[in-house]
Parts: sequence; structure tokens; C-alpha cells
Amino acid sequence: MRLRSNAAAARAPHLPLEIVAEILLNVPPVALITTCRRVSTTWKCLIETSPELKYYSTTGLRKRDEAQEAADTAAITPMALEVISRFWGKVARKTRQVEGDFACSDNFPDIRPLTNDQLGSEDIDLTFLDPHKSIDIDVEYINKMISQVFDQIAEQFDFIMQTVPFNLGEHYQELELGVTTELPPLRRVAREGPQGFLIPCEVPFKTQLLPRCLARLVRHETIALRAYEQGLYRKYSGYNIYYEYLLRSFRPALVVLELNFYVNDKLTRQLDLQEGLPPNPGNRYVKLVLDGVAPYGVWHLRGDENDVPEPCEGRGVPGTS
Amino acid sequence: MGLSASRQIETTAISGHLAFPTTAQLHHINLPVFRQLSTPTAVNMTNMKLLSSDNVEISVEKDVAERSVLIKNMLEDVGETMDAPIPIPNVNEAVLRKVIEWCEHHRNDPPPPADDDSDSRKKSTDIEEWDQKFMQVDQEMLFEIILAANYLDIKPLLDVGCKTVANMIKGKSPEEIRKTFNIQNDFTPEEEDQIRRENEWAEE
Repeated sequence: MRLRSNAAAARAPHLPLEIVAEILLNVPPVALITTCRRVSTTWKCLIETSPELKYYSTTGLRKRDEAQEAADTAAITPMALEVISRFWGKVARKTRQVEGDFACSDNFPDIRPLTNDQLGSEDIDLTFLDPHKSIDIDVEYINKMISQVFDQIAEQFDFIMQTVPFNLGEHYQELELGVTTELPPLRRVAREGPQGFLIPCEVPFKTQLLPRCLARLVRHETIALRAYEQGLYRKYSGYNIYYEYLLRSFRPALVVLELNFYVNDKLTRQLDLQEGLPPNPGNRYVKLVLDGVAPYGVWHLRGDENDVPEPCEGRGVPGTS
Repeated sequence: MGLSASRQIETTAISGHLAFPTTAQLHHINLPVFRQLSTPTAVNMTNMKLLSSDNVEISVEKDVAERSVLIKNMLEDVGETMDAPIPIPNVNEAVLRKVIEWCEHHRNDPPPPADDDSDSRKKSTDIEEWDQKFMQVDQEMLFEIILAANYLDIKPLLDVGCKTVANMIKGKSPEEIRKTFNIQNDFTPEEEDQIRRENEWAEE
């Protein structure tokens, strides 16, 4: 497309609204509901009231007949995937910031990030703190920080959560492969969520921002960094801290929580994830959650440096295996 | 139809010469080549004329013109014996020639499905290479082509035009889009702030 001057734009004829609508149906739905809605009151009104555009901008699907529409909205729509993807992406990114803040915090003078040189040096005197004590403090601090992150992100998603339909219930059944429980998912979440959140054994960090007390453990591999890299120690990782947010603010997509359990569990067997899942729309969601959560390394520590936790063997949520 | 155009005449039509013989004139031309081409497939090569809004007659082969549903319906209504040029009052010569150029290139495309909401039309967001080049025109012409395609009811061309403009929108800020479409920002500051807050979820 050639570059155009403003004068050329001014000479161009005005397009009638039905053609503008047709054009907007070719714009990605996220751009439609964000950028294009900000252009003018006419465009905003068009996007929000034209049946085709409204449907497209909130689902990412073309409006066809009613039967197809019913089938579409019963599915996990592309727009729902997009929103959830962005949500988890934001959670992951913001939480990483919390990790950095935590490791650099003046509240923990003995827990500072080590430089690569320090980590590689044999001469460094690593002060080893009592892991139980330090972790208890850290968890409280971290949970508080993460709660704040959730609150901020939840507020950002208020509008879109009310706008985009999230009908994930049907797919929950398909995705709950092998999870053994007789409780309906929502009751299980309600029962186990708070417990999971209170487990005082999680310290998020990135290896280059390790608190000192953990650096030594990692250096000596008494808690296997390799295992972390292979995704073995994730039995309680990640989803515990997501419980509260989902229960409180992600009500229309509560089933997401259950999917998230499943995904975390499948992370311990990535081959299964890639090869074993049946092709259904929910699988895209599984992939999506992986994208959002996998970069976020929440470490599960229990006991002293020689007390290596058991790798996660089965699937299921905390406390049910 | 009793007559068909020869290859020679077809070439003339594509080149856009205005002094093309009328159907009546063609009746008097008795060249063997015509008889050879008087087959069912050759029937569609009959020529006709379109009259642009600035009163320029443009000769075009019938099957090319019939890419326009409007013209096709018109020809069916009058029994396909129109010698007089068909007026296209909303489209000037330059735009009409562009539209005909597109129709000629796509003359052998399969007809669009009856259901205009079909997946085949809606799903593809890509634009063919030839169409991309075809649409490399200034914005005024692009919009005129879209309007002409809409008026003449040439849905595939309208689709290409809409996709081209949609591609212009992608990645642009609201202000840049306003400039592109020559639109006034009529939001109040409060309304703008409200939408900005609603969009925070999508910001990195």
C-alpha cells in the first residue's frame, strides 16, 4: 500500500456505514474492541450495536445462523481464548516483577540477588538461613504482593469479562481427563482453593534472582534445579496462588481453574501433553495456559536442604492424589 | 444471442477502444471466424458497452461485465439484447476501467456462493498477490473502487477492497485511523477516559 498524505485522505469519499462495517469485519477482534471503538462515537456505536460486529468483536467468530451461533457460544470462542491468554500472560509478567522486587527488597537484607560472578565463585560465603523461617516470611510477603497483582489485573479485566462470553462448562468435561474426584468442579474449587492458597511452602524466584538461602541449595543441587527445569516439582506450583483470584474475580470462567490444575499436572509429562490430548477446542486452551503460566517458576520447597520433595507422580489437584 | 465476438474483437475490447461495433453492426460482419466461434462457449464473449458517470462509453465483454450482479440482472431483465450502453451513473471512467480490469482478471473465477455469509468468503483474510498489486492505488481510488464494487454488486471485489482497508487499519492508533478515514474525534474527554480504562486489559 502506498503512503498517503492527509490531503489524499481528505479527498477520499466517505464510506457508508454498511461498508465500514464490512471493513471492520476484517480487522482482528481485539483491535476492533479496543482501537476501533476509540475512533469516534459512530464507530463505537456501530461496533457495539451492529449484530454482526458485536458478535464478531466479542467472540472472534462470524455471525451466521442461529444454530451455528448457539454452537459457537457454547464453545470456547477465539475471543475468550484471547482474553484468557492475555490474562495469564499479564499474571505471569507481573508476577515476575514481584519476584524481582522480592529478591531485591530491603526488607530482606540477607536475601539479595547474586550476580553471575558471585554464583560462579567458589570463594563466596553463602549465608545459609533457616529455610523454614525465611520461607515462612517470604511466603507471606510474596502472597501479599501477588494478591495486589491480581487485584490490579482483575480491575483491568472487568470490562472485557462482562463483554466477552465465557462458556467453558462443556469443555470442562472433556478436559478433566483422569482427575479422580466425585465433587463437581466448582465445589472442589471452593473446598480446596483456600487450603491450597495457604500452603506456606512456595517461594517464587528466577534463578538469576535467587535469595541466598536458596542459592546454595541450587548450587549444590540438593534441590534439583534440573528437576525444576524439567518441570518435575510442580505438584503445588502455580495454581495454588491462582485460586483466590479465580474464585473472587474470574467468576464467569471458573472452570478455568480446573483446566489450570490439569495443565500444571500435565506439565510433569510434557510428551503426553503434546501427543496425548484429543483434538478439541479445549486443547487450544491448554496450550494457552501453558504459554501464560509456564514461564512463571514457583518453587515448592519443604523441609531442609536434604529433604527433596517427591516428584509429582499422578495428575489431580493438591490434596486429591 | 446470434453473434459472438472473434478473438480479434475480444482483444480490442480489452484494450478499451471505444469505437467498438455494436451488436447490429456485428450482424453485418460475415467472417468465417465468427461462424467458427459461434459455439455455446463463445456466446459469452459478446461485447457490450457501459456508460460511466462522466459519459464515457467503455466496451467490455459480456461475461466480464456479468461479474457485476447488478449488470447481470439488468441483462437478464432486458433479454440480453442491449445495444445501447448501460449507464453506470455512480462510477466515473477511471474507476470503471479499474473495476473492469479486475473483472477481466477474475473472469474465470468460480461464481461466489449463493450464501454470502459462507465460510469460504469470510474465513480467508489473505489477499491474492495480483489483487494486492491491483489495490496499490491512492486512497481516493481505493475507496471509489469499494463504492463501485458495492454499487455494481461485485462481492469478491468488495471483499478485496474491504480487506485492503482493514489492513490499513491494523496496527494504527485511533488518531491515525481518524486521519485515514477523515473522521472527527467526537468523544468527550470523559468518554475517552472511560474507553481507555476499558481497554487496559489489552495493553502490555
